[in-house]
Amino acid sequence: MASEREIWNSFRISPGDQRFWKIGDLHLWIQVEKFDVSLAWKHARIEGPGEEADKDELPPEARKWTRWILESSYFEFELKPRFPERPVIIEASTALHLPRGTSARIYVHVPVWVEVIAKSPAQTVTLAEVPSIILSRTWFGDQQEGELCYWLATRAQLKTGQRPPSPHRVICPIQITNSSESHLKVQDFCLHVEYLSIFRHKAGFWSDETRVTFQGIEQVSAVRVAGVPPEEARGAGLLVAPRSSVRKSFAARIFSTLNWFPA
Amino acid sequence: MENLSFLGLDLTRLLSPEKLAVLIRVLFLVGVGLPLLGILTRTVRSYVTKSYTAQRGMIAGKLVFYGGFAILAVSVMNELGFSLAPLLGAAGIVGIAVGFASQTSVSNIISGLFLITEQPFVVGDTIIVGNTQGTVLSIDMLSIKLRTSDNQYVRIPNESIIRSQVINVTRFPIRRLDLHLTVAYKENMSEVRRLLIEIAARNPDALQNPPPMVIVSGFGSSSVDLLFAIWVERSEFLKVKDNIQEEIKARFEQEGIEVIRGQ
Repeated sequence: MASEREIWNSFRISPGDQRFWKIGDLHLWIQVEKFDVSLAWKHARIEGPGEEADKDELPPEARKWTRWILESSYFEFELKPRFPERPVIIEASTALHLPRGTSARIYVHVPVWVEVIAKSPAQTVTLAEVPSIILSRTWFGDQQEGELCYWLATRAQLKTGQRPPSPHRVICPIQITNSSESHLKVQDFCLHVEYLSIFRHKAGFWSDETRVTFQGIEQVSAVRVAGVPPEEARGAGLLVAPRSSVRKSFAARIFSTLNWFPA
Repeated sequence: MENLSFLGLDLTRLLSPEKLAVLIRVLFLVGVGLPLLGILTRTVRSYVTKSYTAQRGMIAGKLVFYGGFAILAVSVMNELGFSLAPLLGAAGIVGIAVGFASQTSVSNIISGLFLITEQPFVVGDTIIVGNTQGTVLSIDMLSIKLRTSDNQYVRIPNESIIRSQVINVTRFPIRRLDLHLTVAYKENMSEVRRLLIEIAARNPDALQNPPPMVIVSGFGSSSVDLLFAIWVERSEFLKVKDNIQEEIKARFEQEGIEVIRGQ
């Protein structure tokens, strides 16, 4: 698998050449001709230990290419990590229980979307935005106030370093405080990645910290987005700004309640 | 003024300076007012559509057009010297006569008002009325217009809509896809259930929450009847319906699960 340095940099492709990347489950091809650029991609999961992921690195002829006609023959490309365009529901493999008045810091690794950018002296164009891993979809909330989200099953880790940094995942620190009068069971919760930035730090990516204050199951939670690199990645440089204009703090339903859907 | 005649008529007498001034004002009102009204209607409809919804845009456009047209008509009649009081009186008598003769049209107009205020559907929704399913193109004074999936144009009188059961397919962002399956009595129900849930879990377009369900819905003469219910985003309904049934067939064949047909 390509390293972080090999993927997320600007590069050039000479006319007549083709390049290939594997980022998570994403297989991506870019081919340059004199006045046009073609892209193709597919997603392939490694099913078992004996199966090779790169057995078909050359795209078959039948693969659908997306062809772009651009103004200049002088192209520079860039692959940029982006957060998904919808909130992500984090489902912890084991529920965490927070007694009232306590706080916990957890870390989740969110797969990135890959933005393919073509630059020339005349223009900068986003050619595609493709997920590095296809996430399932889910519905979060009740019938009136719910929203479509992506779904990510993960071990919500309580300390960093339990999992090596990945070139296609962003480590998101979340500080959860239970200020309600009851215990808080954290099984699945909504992470509003659209308000988060991506910072580059050493070998990996970090988002800014999300602070969630739980005030009771009948009430919305107070959410605060730091807007700066977390203390674990102090000095990290901003790589990608949030998708939605930064709201430093807002109120939202973060923790799921009982299913409201009829059988 | 010199004498002007046309077909034996003395135009000088017919077109006195006063009458000429009236004629010019009427022509000005019609020639400038109607195009201006058209521009104003389009601008208002476009603005409201962009700011709110296509439905509200359509209503705002109609209000501006009919309101403006009425003002224009009254102004022209005023210029021509018609007094509105006798006209309104006559309109009352004529109205009664016309009302008896056009009960259906009046009923359609009133039904249209109910449709616009109650909003069981709006422009752009997909609805089912009787045996017809289509996307709402417009809700007009007398009828609604639909475009069916095979690109036919259907006009349904508003009165029929009010009297019929209308199913709005796209009112909510997610839908439940119900698949009715019949498997042989010899099959292990736990295994069938596990397999179906796994098929749903592996399909990224099937929502994780609300969770998919497998319910034994009945016992046939030679089969167990199952309801396999999956929640999907409304825009992905047909895609999931197609590919999940294909997947069920492939997995049932692979696992040797016998499906009973012709129930």
